Amino acid sequence: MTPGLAVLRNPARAWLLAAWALVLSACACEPVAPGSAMAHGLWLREHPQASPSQSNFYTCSTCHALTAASANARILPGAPLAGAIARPSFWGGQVRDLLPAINVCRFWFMDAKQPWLPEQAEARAVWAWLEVAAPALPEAVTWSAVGSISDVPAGQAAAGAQVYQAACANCHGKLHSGSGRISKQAPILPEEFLAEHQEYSPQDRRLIGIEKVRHGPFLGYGGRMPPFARQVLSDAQLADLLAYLGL
Amino acid sequence: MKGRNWLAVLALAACEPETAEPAWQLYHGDAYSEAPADIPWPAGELALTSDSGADTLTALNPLTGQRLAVVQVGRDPVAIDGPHHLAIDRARGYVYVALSYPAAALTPGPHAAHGSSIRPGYVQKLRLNDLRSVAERAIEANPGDIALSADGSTLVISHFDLATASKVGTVEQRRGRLTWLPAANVGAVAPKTAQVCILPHGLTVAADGRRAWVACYGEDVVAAVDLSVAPPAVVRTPLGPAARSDGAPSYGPYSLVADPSGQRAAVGCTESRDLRFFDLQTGEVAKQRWAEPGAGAVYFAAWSADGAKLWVPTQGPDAIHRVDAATAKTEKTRTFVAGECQKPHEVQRSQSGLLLVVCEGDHQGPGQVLALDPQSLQTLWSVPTGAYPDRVALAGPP
Ligand code: HEC
Ligand code: HEC
Repeated sequence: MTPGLAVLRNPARAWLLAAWALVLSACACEPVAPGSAMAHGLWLREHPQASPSQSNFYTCSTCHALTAASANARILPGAPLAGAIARPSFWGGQVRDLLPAINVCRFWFMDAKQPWLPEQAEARAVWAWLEVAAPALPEAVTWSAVGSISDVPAGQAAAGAQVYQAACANCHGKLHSGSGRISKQAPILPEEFLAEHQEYSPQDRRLIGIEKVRHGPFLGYGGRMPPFARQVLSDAQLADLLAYLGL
Repeated sequence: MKGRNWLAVLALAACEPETAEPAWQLYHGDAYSEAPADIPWPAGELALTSDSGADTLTALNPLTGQRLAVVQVGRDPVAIDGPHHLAIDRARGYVYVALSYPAAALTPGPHAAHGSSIRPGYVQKLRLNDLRSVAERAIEANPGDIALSADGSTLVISHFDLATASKVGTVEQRRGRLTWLPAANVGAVAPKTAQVCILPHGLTVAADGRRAWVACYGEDVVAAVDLSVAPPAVVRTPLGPAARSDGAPSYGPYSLVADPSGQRAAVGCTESRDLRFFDLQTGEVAKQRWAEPGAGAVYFAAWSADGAKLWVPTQGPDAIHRVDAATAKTEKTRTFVAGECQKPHEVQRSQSGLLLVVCEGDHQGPGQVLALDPQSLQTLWSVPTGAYPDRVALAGPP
């Protein structure tokens, strides 16, 4: 698909939406055309019902911003979603098509047992809003999962506090108390993590911390925390984070 | 225009989410049809390799060796899925691939190393024209070989499960399984399984899908399985008088390839380094076998269309042998020089009569497909594939 084609293909609808945006800009809380497929897509983005699993506590927005700018300095594990429909591949080239890329998130993080099929209302609704949110270039996002785990140099706890706030607090809440965490399933850091891994040496615990952040549920770790690639969280940031966590 | 659209979406992003889910309209526009079919189908057949160490299928023109596409397959966006062996349904235009999740491909940290969890395998049904998955199903771990009945009805998978085979226990407890399922309903129907023998691997299925035969590496037998009765009936035929089931096989039957008439099968043995003939009708092992002094371990052979000749790949030394199937005598041998074809795993004959040999390589870097002249065994072309290819299969024309 060529850039911008999605919008050009449907100029009438795009124009209408733009008009709505201007009309409603005083109070944007009225969804565009209530009940429309696009409103449905936006609703799914913000609700855990994007997976039918009762135990899912994530929404797409837990891990994805619309654009890099709208992430507001948060460090998010997933790429911005605007423009995704124009990308030639996903997940660092491991996934060829958009819907399977979304279903990867639903399966691994959101506990959805069944993939959305292209003809399904939910999948079509997500497309409907992504199609409008597509000003991006038809370029894949650079993302490469970290494979082998190795240690990082010592870091600075003060800088780590900021990294924690930007990357981890949204799910794990405040350090030591977990206050505001997304779910009790996200452990209180570092206490619950330390308790869970008592049988390991301090050095191995540090490596396991790195492994969790880099692999998420993949490569044999399990769980449903997302992996952070070096493209979103550098080794230097991770080093600071470990200092803050006392690992 | 684009900029203003943008505003609409940003404005919406700030909305307070509603709690109850309202009724929604369906989006009727074009969705998810953006990806073009990206395999340019050659004039005749298409060759596919399963690159188990690279998570890809490589599509080739078997006439020219031109690489047409290298396509990512699998389900796991991070780990190697290990696409292992292929079965093709030419009539309906599908290829089935087994995903085996090789433990060696993992690069775990201390946590993953601690619990040695075994991942289930998967079977995926891909459209031949673009190699996109249309259905998938979790199956037991370590799928070994996959075969489809000629009528397209039944998919059979063997599980080469070393952990089960090396358990301390009775022969029965160490036997691995066969899985079979209706190919039309891969995603919807729960597969059936049966314990058949120790380390079942290479297999073939009767044209109507009611029977399967599998070479059992760890038990030195061919197991004939009647899938049409419940529980399935298994008859195990030893490949010779020295058959063993104690973990040190005498013959090590690994591959089993039926002749075009479905009368007999060539069973490649990696331990006794010979090829034995199994009669699929009578269930007997022929006295005559192919063996050549100094030959390597035997892998998946190819039959000529009339069943009169066989092309047999061997590893260590890496070579290919043309064998007269009636007398089991070698007609010609070609030994590959270093780098030419490391570890030939399988030979297939294309419609045009060329031999395609898939070479595993060193399992880290690329493997290869070679086309050989069936008479002279000379190389006509050679192309790289992804890492560790273990099958070359021919499809089409659509
Ligand atoms: C727990 C975190 C998490 C959740 C929840 C999540 N994702 Fe993801 N998503 C990721 C990560 C990590 C990646 C891989 C990195 C990347 O490519 O963006 C990813 C990748 C993607 C990609 C591919 C992006 C690309 O260009 O490679 C899309 C599209 C996507 N997600 C959409 C969604 C949608 C839609 C939802 C909600 C149904 C969702 N995700 C829920 C974490 C998440
Ligand atoms: C999208 C939500 C989310 C984010 C963001 C997140 N985590 Fe987690 N994390 C979880 C959940 C849920 C678990 C528990 C389940 C699991 O192990 O995956 C968890 C578990 C952990 C564990 C414990 C693993 C174990 O085996 O006990 C550690 C350590 C951890 N997270 C560290 C971090 C750090 C450091 C960050 C920031 C870089 C971070 N997490 C960001 C959701 C998240």
